[in-house]
Amino acid sequence: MTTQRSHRLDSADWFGKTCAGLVLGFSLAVAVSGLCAWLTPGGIAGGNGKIQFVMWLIAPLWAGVLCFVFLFRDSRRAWLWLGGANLVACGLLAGVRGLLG
Amino acid sequence: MKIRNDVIKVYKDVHIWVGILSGLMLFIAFYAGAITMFEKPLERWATPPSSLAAPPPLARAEVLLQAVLAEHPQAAKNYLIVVEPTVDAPARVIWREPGKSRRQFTEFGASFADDGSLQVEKLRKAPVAQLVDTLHQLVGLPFPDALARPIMGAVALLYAVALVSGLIIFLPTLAKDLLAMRIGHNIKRLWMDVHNALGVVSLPFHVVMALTCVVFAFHDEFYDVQGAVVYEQGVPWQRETPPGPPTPDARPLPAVELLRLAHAQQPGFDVFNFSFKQAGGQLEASITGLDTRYGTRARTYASTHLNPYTGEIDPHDLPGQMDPWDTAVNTFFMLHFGSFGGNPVRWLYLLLGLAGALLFYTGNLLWIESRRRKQRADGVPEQTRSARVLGSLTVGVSLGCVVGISATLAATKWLPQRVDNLAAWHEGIYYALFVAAVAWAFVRGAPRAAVELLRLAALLTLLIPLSSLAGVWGIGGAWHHPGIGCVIDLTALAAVPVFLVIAGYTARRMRVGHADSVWAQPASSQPLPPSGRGPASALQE
Amino acid sequence: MNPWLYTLAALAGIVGAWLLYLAVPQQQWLAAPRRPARGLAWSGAALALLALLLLLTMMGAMAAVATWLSLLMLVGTLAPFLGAWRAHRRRRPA
Repeated sequence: MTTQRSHRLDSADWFGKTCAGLVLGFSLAVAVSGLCAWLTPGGIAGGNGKIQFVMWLIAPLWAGVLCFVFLFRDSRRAWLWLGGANLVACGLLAGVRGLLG
Repeated sequence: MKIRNDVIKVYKDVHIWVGILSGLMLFIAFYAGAITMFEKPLERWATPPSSLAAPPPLARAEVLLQAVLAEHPQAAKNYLIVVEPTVDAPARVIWREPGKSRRQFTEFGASFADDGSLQVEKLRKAPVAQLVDTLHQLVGLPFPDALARPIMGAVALLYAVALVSGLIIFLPTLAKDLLAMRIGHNIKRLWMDVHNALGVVSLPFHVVMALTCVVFAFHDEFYDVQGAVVYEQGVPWQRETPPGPPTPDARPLPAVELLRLAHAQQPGFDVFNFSFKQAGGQLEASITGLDTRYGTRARTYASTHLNPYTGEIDPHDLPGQMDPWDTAVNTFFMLHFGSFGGNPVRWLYLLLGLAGALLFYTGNLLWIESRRRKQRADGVPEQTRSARVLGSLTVGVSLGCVVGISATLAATKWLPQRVDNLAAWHEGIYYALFVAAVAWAFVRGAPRAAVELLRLAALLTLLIPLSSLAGVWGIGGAWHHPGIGCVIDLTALAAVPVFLVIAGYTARRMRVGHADSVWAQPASSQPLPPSGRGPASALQE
Repeated sequence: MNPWLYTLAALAGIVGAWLLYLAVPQQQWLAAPRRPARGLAWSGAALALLALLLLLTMMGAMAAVATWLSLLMLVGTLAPFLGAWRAHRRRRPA
């Protein structure tokens, strides 16, 4: 993912990576679920079924980030990359809310 | 598939740690969950016979209802007309009075005595099946829901990470190791193969369980966050208003007529009951039942709105007729509950659940095995303290859960005659045995405790059918419902030899297995006898 | 649901999954495994597919696929244990 060929991954920084996965993984999951709520068929007023589906999306997204966060070379990179992804996703969500809301 | 060695190493560390943290709680969740697959039959088996007279025919349900409302006007707020009365819903008309919390009700049933007078009984639905379900939901923790549920959610996240990390470790050797089971001298290899056999093929089942549990733990929080961040003004739930009466003095159709219209509109939908709620002057009705061709989001039924004046069913809450979003959500629930394909799938889920429990158990065994201090020429070394502790903890917690559930189930048919607070007694019995088993495992050491607790599990499980047998003969206030309840007793009976066989193997391993193991007889610090170390004894490790 | 058809679908699924197990090099049920195992794999896959089609005729699509997968997962989980048990008996005739 972000490792170079020469660098060997290790478990030393597990705590920082886990925290990044838990915190930024969750916010990223919420933002992406929000984009799905606005941009998929039916839009934001897609009915009760869609509301539930969009809530369910958080679980696989959050768990997915948490599972693969250990591939970052160190926790600083994990926080930076996931923070960047959060900025993009939240920016898009804010934009979409502004445009369609 | 090629994965870099350093990545494998990292995910091995991750897998080991999340496994150790969550394995034993997941064992309880899966063992109790497997039993919960048959929560409804268990509840019926455990519910004492009703004192009510036989229910009047459905055609007289309205007469009974009027008699109830005359004496208990509060029943009008929330009542059911039952189409097929069962042991746990033994009356034609049942009403609910609110209890302590929003979801708690006290249920009353009514019937006509032989002389035509109204009979009323507070229903005595047995709480023991609910206890097993709660153990399952809260991964065996004796804490209030508000504390145990987030822990369960954290365990579910760990479980998801364990699945993915386990898969990453397994992928490079998939072609060589898939479905392999190498029984031989290498005990670690054997446990590894067992662990993989239990985990790899059923991976989709486990992924479903992990992700649904994350939602079950945190759905309120997820909605709160989405209400603040995603939606404009909170989560925009759409409320449905019940249809009003066509004319001000219109009365709901009689149940017989509602049933006829339901069959005409929804062939294949087996109706259990009609329920009615009075709120703000409006009568809100719904129909509950099951079409076995579709999975349901409730564990044993599907429910939807019904116009009580016309008999018209609103199909959009019924599986098979939902919109795509609802269908997807319905599928997530059904995949967790195994509420599809009828009873055959419940048995499949029961076995998959037990296999899951063994997956976590073998995970701990592997941890112990890979830390074994091997025998050297100068004698048998002392095993590490951490291996001994985890051995005792694994045996105590797992078998403590098993003996606790068997004991509390065996007590079911004796308690109602003797004590008032059934739920507290069942919980007390379970946790008393659970705590005692864990303590026992530390006092006696893992191997001896395993043998003894397995024998105790066999004995306590045997008491389950024996107390039903006592019910057949009417001893000590026990009871027995003829018919399908036998399956519970027969299943318990079938589990008895299984516990005994495992106890036998464990005892043999203790005697003739490796002496350099936490599973060896504790007194064996002297050198090994030369015999008894063939491949057969290795098998029992 | 027609119980006979359900039973037939279950049998097709069990036999199909079992043939797929026998087609894997790691299988231990047969002392002399059939090689090449392509025939076993194809007939196993065909029977498993038949089971899915039968289930689809009698249930909703989601329920049918889920029932089918549950059955295949359970047979696939039990198969290595049964294979190892038979291999063990073969090695040490009673």
